[in-house]
Amino acid sequence: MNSKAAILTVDQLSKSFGGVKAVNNLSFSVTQNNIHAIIGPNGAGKSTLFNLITGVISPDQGKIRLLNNDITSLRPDKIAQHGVSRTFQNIRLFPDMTVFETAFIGTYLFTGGKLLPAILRTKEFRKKERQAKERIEEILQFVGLWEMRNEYAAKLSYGNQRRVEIARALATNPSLLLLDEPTAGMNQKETKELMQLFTQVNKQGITILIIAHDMHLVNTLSDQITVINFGEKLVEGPPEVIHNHPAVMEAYMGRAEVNA
Amino acid sequence: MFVDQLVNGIVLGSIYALMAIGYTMVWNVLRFINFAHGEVYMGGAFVSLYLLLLDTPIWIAYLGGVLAGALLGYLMEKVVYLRMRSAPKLNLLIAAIGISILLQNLAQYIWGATPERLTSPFLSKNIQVGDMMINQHYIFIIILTILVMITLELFINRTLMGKAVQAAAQNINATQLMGINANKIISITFAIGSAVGALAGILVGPVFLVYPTMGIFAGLKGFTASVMGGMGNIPGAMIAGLMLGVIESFAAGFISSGYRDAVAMVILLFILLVRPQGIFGKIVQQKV
Amino acid sequence: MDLTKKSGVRKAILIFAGIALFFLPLGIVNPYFMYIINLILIYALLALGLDLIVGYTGQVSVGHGAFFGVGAYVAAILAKNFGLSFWLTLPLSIVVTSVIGFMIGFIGLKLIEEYLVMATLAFGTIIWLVFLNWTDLTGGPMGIAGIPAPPTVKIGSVEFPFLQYHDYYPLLLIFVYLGILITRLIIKSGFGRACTAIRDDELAAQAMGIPVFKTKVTMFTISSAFCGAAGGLYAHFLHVVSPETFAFGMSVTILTMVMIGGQGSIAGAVIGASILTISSEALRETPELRMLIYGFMIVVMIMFFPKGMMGVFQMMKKRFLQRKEQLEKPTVEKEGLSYE
Repeated sequence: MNSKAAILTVDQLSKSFGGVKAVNNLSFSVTQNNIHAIIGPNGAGKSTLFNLITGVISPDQGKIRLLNNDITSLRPDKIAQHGVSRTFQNIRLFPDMTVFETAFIGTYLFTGGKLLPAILRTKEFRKKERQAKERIEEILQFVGLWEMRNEYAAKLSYGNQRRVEIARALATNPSLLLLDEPTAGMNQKETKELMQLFTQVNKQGITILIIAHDMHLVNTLSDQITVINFGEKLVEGPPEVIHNHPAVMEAYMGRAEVNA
Repeated sequence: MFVDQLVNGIVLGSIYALMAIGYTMVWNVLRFINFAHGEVYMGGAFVSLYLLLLDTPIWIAYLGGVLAGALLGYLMEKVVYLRMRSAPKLNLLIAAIGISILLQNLAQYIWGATPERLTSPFLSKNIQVGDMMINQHYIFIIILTILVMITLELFINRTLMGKAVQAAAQNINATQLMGINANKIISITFAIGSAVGALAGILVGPVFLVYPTMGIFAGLKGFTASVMGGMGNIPGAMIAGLMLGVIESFAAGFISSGYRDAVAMVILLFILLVRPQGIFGKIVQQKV
Repeated sequence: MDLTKKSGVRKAILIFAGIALFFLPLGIVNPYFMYIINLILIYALLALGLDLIVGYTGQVSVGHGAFFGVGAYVAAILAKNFGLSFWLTLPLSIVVTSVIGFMIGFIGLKLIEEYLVMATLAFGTIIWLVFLNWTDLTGGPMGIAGIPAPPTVKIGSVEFPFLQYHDYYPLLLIFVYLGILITRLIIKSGFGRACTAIRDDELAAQAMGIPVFKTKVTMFTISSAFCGAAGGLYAHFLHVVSPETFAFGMSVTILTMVMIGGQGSIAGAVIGASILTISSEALRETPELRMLIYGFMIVVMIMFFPKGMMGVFQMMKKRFLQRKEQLEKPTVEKEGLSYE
């Protein structure tokens, strides 16, 4: 299909909650360096899919592979170690931290959580701390939050809170970034600015898997779209194809307008 | 001897089951364990004791204790927990610990630390069952526990309010959407759970005496039962309570009396280690 | 930058004050006052330890009084029954409490926060029953008396004995400084930041690659080690240990210290320890009233001032700075954002 390799492969994934099939025999793959969108009506199983990929919940059946590694049912922190990072549908920041501190948490995988070097303040430890700080400065400049680094993240505007989440995710140095409805609740200006940011992130070589409701956003941004409904794959293809697909029009478009 | 231990175990177990119900019901609606539940048990017993000292008829005194327990639980929720709905869980937990210490020492301040015996109309009578004698008060405890369990079961499954409590256990916000006042559900849950806890305290009063710190062990053991039963699982809590009582009663025969109370503690640590989600059900995790 | 210069001055003042504190006994004649000050230092170490897990990691323990007791009894038993010196009993106290702390943390930190509360309460009860009933080892209700003071240290021709309260004070001060230093070094590291992230949002922390359970258990172990050290120091300071000191009330007292001083703050832990030690000496005659007040204080603080006195100070400081800033220069609102 594509000359480039798949970074993420979801293979016949299923998950039910008390008899309700949230994700049902779902298979798709995300090509490296793409922006890949997952769309579908409310309750289609998009967030469940994200929670399955990031290890928050375990699937009943099926496999999730990242490059050549099987990451099915691994713990979330192990999956993060494999280079998967994410933002949350309802923004999850650390209430007591500034923008800088919040983003700094993302460097955990780089600085490590070793105690002895921390207590002895070894050369290696100090070097890594310094490098991590430089990296955060770079990231905060990149997402446009450097000026606000000392403000409490939770007190920023909604759009900027999302940026903090993205900065924190970028700090883990991910190869795959999962964005769960990143523009939900944003105004047009914020949405537009965030879309520009996603393109910039993607240009750095980070593959993006995005859940979205906003058709406009999906059409302009993504290389590939997977439409799901009732936990199953409906259609898949580039935006042009999806846009005119009758099944999608029927199952999703009409309802999306009601939901918007 | 064996039957003796078994009866003792069932009596103890009934008390633990009653306590466990309070923990589990509150967990269902608030996803929070009311650490001060043991003090409701103590408070109910003390109020009954106090009413008896005023020459109140015994049934009225018992009833007064139960109502006082319900009121205490209701007030805890209204005065403290309600105001902390948006606070981090850590704070809520610390508040509960604070309330527990406050009430324990308030009771000690008012009534003193000396254990006192609650009167029971049955304590001095025995019933002949086969070739053994069982204290009537024990029978009373067992019968009343069964009655409470049946009533609760009927309330939860057959009444509108009970169904609302059940719905709240699934999702408190959804309850709100259904047009049921979530705060009212929470209040009712606290009041019922506490009434049952206070009843447990009153029932043991004639056997194990009433004193300010009586709620600590009872609370821990009730909690152990609610964990064993699967936090949030009401029938599970009832069965686990009985199991715990029987296990404890038999285990106590093998060790020196000084360590008697340690048995339930060891069981609790063991359960938390090997099966923290409980024997009968699953603890509901946080939703993303 | 201006900021580093300012913190440099602050550092110098702190170091000076820290050294000056060693000379405090010179100004205090009354040994009772010295006794109180020494107690404050031991409690400060306990509060620092509990704050690591409550304030910085967001997990509640009501078993720290029991860990304190384990530390004290291990030191007492090793010193009395095996004739070991303080310099050996103290590290062993720390090791034993750490091992037990690890086990309790491992059991209690698995699923939800409440389980740790209950696990620590259960542990506290068990250990208390052991202190009370294992008479051969622990002396039962009477406890263990006659624990020797640490042997005199000779540096050149100068001798440092530890017999009097006045002599013991510098030793305690060194340990409190060590505790503060270790706390700071831990907090300002990847591990410490991971703990704070867990406290604030466990799920988000885990998504950033932080192994939540392991981090919590590690911090709980360190936290109990602090109590072990305090226990060892306590046993060799008072020369006596007995069960009632380490009952549930002790755990509550330490928790109250942290709540009043302010969770998540080193200064808060020390302030809380000072206030409670002094006030509990004042309320010595009416212990039931003391615990009543503690319970009340915990509820009031957590409801209205969850960050304790340090939180109040910080709020006042922030307001003051804001007002100053507003007077000095009107801030310019930044418009729009640019991407690099």
